[in-house]
Amino acid sequence: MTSLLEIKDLHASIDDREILKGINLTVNPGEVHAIMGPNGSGKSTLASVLAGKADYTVTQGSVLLNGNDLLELAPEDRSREGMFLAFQYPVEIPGVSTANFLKSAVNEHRKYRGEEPLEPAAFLALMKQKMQLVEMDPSFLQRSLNEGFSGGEKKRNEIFQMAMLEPKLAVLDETDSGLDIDALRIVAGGVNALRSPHNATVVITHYQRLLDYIVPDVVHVLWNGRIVRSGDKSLALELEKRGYDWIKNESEVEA
Amino acid sequence: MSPLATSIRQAYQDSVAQLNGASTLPFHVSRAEALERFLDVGVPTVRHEEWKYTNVMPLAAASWSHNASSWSNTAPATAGVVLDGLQDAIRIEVRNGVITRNAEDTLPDGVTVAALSTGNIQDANVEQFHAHPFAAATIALAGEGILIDVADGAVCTKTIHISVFCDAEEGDHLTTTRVLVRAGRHAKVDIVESHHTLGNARVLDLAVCSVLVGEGGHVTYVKILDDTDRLHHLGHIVASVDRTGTFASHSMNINAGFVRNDAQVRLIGEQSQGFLFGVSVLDGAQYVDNHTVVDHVVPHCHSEELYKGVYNGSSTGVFNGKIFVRPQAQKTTAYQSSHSLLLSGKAQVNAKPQLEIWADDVKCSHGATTGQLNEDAVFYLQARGLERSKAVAMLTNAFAAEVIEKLPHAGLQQHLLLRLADKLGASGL
Repeated sequence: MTSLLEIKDLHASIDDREILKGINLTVNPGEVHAIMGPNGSGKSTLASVLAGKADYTVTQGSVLLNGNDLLELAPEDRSREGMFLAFQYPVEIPGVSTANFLKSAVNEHRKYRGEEPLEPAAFLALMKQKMQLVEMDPSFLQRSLNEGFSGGEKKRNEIFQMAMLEPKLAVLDETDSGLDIDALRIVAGGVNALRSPHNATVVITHYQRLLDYIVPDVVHVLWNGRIVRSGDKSLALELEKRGYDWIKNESEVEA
Repeated sequence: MSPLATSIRQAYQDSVAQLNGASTLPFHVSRAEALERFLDVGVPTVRHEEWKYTNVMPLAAASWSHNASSWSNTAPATAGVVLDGLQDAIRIEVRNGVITRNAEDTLPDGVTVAALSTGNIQDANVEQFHAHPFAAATIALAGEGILIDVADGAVCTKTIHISVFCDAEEGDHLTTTRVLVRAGRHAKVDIVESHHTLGNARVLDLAVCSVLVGEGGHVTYVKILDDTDRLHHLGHIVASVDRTGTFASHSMNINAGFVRNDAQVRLIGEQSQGFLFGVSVLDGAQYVDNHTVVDHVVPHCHSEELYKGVYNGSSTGVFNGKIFVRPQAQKTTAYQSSHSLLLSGKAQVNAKPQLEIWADDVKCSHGATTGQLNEDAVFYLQARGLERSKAVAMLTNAFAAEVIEKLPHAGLQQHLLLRLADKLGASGL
């Protein structure tokens, strides 16, 4: 079986400060991986580097998505190749309606695959169907993208976009932050509904709470730019109980 | 005297020489006065406070032929510009200052369009024009002028579209256009003025527009500049608004080499309202100066200003916004904002809000921002599969569209949004 995502010895810096110091991670189709870790360990940097944010420089290592060199691609081509980042802080974009934005995005993806743009009626029907996954009201479609949305609405909108784009690899960056328990349940329900044997999900989170709803196959702990421990979902429960200090102490001893 | 000032004086003399007995008409008497006012000041230099950023010396250094009657043979006498969204408009065409099409038979009841020169109309805004050297020059040179008169209670249900053609085959050519709009009590009219060059001459396109809004009247005035870099436009619009009347100016600067737009609203009747909107999209070495004055003369009036500019290449923009609130103008609400988006490191903008408030019970605000595109927003769109150029175009369109969407014509909005997208696309963003 070819792995969907294969990260080898990934090093990345921002402003000459090294944040990722040799990440190794393999994700197979159908799997859910959770990446946990204390603040500043490099979780969001990993997500940004995978999506292609220009602020970060990859200094070493490789990332393959479906066997293709992801690091060679512009952010838009990573998206078209099936990479999706659900942003921790979705950007508010005044004047661009959610519907128009998604129409452009979906049609860019279709063009990349050599498909015709969707007819307006078919597109509207698709949007309405996918919105139900995250219980979003269709009135959001005409509103400016994320503008004035509550924290929960922004995160639901991210999952709605994910549903529209049907990525092979979804990276959810702290999607649970700022969500109350109802919103968390809705967002997680959307993610679970989109799971298939052909795609994979990487959930980046601080807390174990989200993993009650999106159950991971593998849990990794990121600390100081490296994955210092991997295990099954019981590792998340142990972290919840004991905190991160024991991991930090152990990894320092190993270092 | 600069070659431009000499050209203006000479053009005036040539023009009045042909008047014969008509020179005693009030219209032509006022032209003589305006010429004097122009010659008092001459072409302003950057030492003049109102022209501090806008250097017209390159224009002043040339000699300009005026309102040539020898039209270029590159286009038919009636070029017939019909803008998308204005197919149903009442069309008036002016070519080198002369009315060449006046669709009188299509006018609704109560609406008159006539040559301003033949009537006996007093322009209550004339002092404002005299204070501006190019406006004074325009009044001195405009030999005909257009009067749009909307009688008390009349509603002009169709938009009136004035196409201004500046027509000369080559060289440096000066045209002057003067419009007076008089809307009676509870009268309503929407006017669009678009400027076009014909032929290959470099054009200095001077235009004044005076708007008198009667009690409860409603006038919108849209100016569209969407031509070539040959177009150098200096325009001045002044509106005086009586009790409960409303005036809105929309200045759509899509493509022109050099633009100085003065827009002035005088709120002279209580509970009147003035709106000034402007959008400018520049690239290359294009230049725009939006100079606005809102004068709150009486209490209980409301004004709003929103100007936005997108600057690419080595283009330059100026926004100068004055708000006066006179001592008696209590309960004024006046809001002004100007926002500029710099898409290139070589583009620049000067913004100068000036609020002079003498009344103490008012709500006034102003805000001016100049910035680059939000890179986080560009990345967000890219991360969803949009190419960088499309992401930039989408964000820039959204930025400018806020002003275009204030236009009262849905069709014209669509047309201008497409033109905007074309220009931003052509800039190779």
